[in-house]
This record gives sequence, C-alpha cells and structure tokens, in this order.
Amino acid sequence: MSCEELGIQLDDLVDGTLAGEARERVEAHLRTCTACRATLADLRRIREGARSLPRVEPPADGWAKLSAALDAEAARGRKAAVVARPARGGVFATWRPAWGILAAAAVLAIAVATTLVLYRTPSAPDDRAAGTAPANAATADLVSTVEMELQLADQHYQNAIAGLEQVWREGQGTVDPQTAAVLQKNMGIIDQAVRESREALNAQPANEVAQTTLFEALRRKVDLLKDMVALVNEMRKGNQAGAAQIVGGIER
Amino acid sequence: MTKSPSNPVGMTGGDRELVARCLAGDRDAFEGIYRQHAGRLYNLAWRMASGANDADDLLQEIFLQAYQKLGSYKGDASLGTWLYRLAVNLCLDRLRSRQGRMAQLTDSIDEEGAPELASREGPAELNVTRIALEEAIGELPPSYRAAFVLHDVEGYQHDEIARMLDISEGSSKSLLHKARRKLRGVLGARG
Repeated sequence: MSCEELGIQLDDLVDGTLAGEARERVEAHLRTCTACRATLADLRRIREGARSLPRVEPPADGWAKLSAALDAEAARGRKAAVVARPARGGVFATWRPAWGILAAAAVLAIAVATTLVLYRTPSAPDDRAAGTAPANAATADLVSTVEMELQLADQHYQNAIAGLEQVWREGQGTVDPQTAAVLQKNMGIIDQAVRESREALNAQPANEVAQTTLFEALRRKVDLLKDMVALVNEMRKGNQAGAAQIVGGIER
Repeated sequence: MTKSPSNPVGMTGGDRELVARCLAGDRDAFEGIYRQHAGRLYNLAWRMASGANDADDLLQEIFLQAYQKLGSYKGDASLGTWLYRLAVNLCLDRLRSRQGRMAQLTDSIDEEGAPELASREGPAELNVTRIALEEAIGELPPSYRAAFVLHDVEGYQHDEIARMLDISEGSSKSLLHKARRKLRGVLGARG
C-alpha cells in the first residue's frame, strides 16, 4: 500500500470505523512510513481539538429580538396581503389574519382557564373567576364577517382578563406592596398600549397594524396577569422561592 | 465510534402539541421551541459563521424561517432534527452567498480534488489551540466546514450528515477528509 492509497482510510482509522483486513493493511503501512504516522497524529489532534471546543451560549436577548422580528414580519405580511388582494376584497381579503387572531385568542383563553383551574383551591372565595373564562372558546360560532371574528377574539381576551383580574384583586394583599406596585405600573403601560390601539381602531376599523398591536397588547396583559395569579398562588402556599422565581421572570 | 447527538425518532407527543399550538398562533409555544433548541442551533451557527455577530443574525433567521415553514413539518423526524437540517442548509446558503461567486467556484474545485500532501510545514507536533482551530475552521470552504463542524465538532455520523446535506455518505466522508487535510495545512503553516 502506498501513501496515496491510504486516503480516506486514515480518517476511518482516526474515527475508529476501520476494521478487518483494511485496518491491518493500513497499520502495516504506518509501521514503515514516518510521514503517514505524522499525518495520523495530526489528524487525531485536530479531531480531539474539535471535540473539546467549548459550547457557546446564545444571546440573552435572543428571544426578545426574535419576537420583535416576528411581529414585524406579521405586520408586513398583513400589509402585503391587503395591497396584493385589493380587487378580491370581501371577507377573504382579511380572513386569514382574523382567523389567526381568533385561534390565538382561543388557545390563550383555554390556557387561562387552565391557570384558573389550577389556582382554585378549597380556600378560594368562590368559583366566579373560573366561570368567566370560556372553556369552550375554541368552538366559536361560525361568523359571517371579519369584523365579527375580531369582536369575538376581543371578547375571548376580555373574558380571560376579567377572570384573572378578579383573582388578582382578591389575592393581591398577599403580595409584598413594593412588588405589587411594580406589577401595577407594568400593567398601566400595557393598558396604555391597549387604549391607543383601540383609539386607532375606532378611527380606522380596518387598520390591520392597529388590530395586530391591540391583540399583542391584550396577549401581554393576559401573560402578566397569569404571572400575577401564579404569584398569589405561591404566596398563599408560603413558597417564597417559587414566588421569587415568578417575580424574577416578570422582571426579565 | 462517535455517539450521535441526533434523535432518530419521529415527532413526539410534545412536539406535536407545540407545533399545533404554534400553527394556531400561540407565540408562547414557539418560545418553548426556541428555548429548547436555540442552544444547539446557536453552536452550529457560531461555528459555521465563525463568530458571534453573524451567529446572532443566523440564529434569528433560522427561527424566522422555521416559523414560516412549520406548516410543512410532517413529523417524519423529530422537531429537533427538522430544525437542525433547516439550520445547516440556511447556514450553508448564507455562507456561500457571502463568500460570493469566486468562493463558490473555489469550493467546487476543491471538492473535485484537493491535492494531498504527505508532509506539512511547521513544528513536529501540530499546535491545535482553541483559537487557532476556530480561525482555521473559518478558512474552510463552506461544504468542508459543514462536514467538519457536523462530524468532528457536533458528533454526527456520516449517514446523518448525508441526509442533512442531501449528499451521499461517500461525499460526506470525502468532504471531511479534505477538510481535515486543509486544516492540517493551515495549522501547520501557522506553527
């Protein structure tokens, strides 16, 4: 066997995948060839070096940036859809975005219902909070216009928010006042975004950017309320570590 | 024998639920997918792009594309495998387009037959420090780099690499062989 014939078999030897007669032939050549032995040693060092390269961590704000990019993509897509399909008009011009928002609202309402069911304990004051979240949100009635779809989605969010807010009001006394103040401040910022989006929609009901920002703000409000309810739950259980973890997540 | 990091099993129940929720517009579900897979995909992007700045952009692009293509995920491989395959090919596309037409030509010429040298320059013992190796990987043509990163850094087997890159197993072996020889030359020349 010559040095040129060795070729990929030397890599197979490095990787431990060379066996039988082929391996014996390669090893016989290596016993007599200093250059190929040096190559083998180098290849092993390269392989070992590659395997020991440290893992790198993704950027801490990676998800935040991606989420913002997804929002931008969605806004661009909706604008493009309106521009690209003006002649078709009618319900189908905006059916997909509206359905997407409704579907998201339905999934979210189910998640909120789950949160409230998990929250309820024998010591809970009453069952009204859980009752306000529609468990059958996913099976919304067929509606004939996009406007009705959006109203329905909005109603899902409002129901979910009402249920969560009631639980928060009943339990906020268990939360440290300083933390509660920070949470209320965050909620105020989100409420401001909801108000601005609603004002824009009142002026231009077909404004898809305003529709998107409204539902994004509502989603953020529900997310924050879910965390606040979870915080009340942990405080009632006396689980300080769990509460601290939730507060840390909100601050992040 | 290396241990494969990939999951050959198809879509799991957890994958199915996450994908369904994403398709229904649930952003939290997509965040779950991101948190679960970003680490592994970032390492791939980092080594393919040779640095953090480009890797950050690549990671975002990978997940944007995944979000858009999630509806085409059939579940014949695990979600992790599907994402990884998408990421590898996107990294290769970006690398090739960045290096431009000339680099592509060089890449294809190299793939057809790089000259093998039995000897090399430099000291008797090859100096393979982390920084030297990272820099040398950055000098590899895109397809060599993909084969080397996937096999020697990430620990994939040739049959898995072949499926990811849509090439034959023999081609995967050949690319790795040439990548290692080129690295040996670059590292040897640096001393």
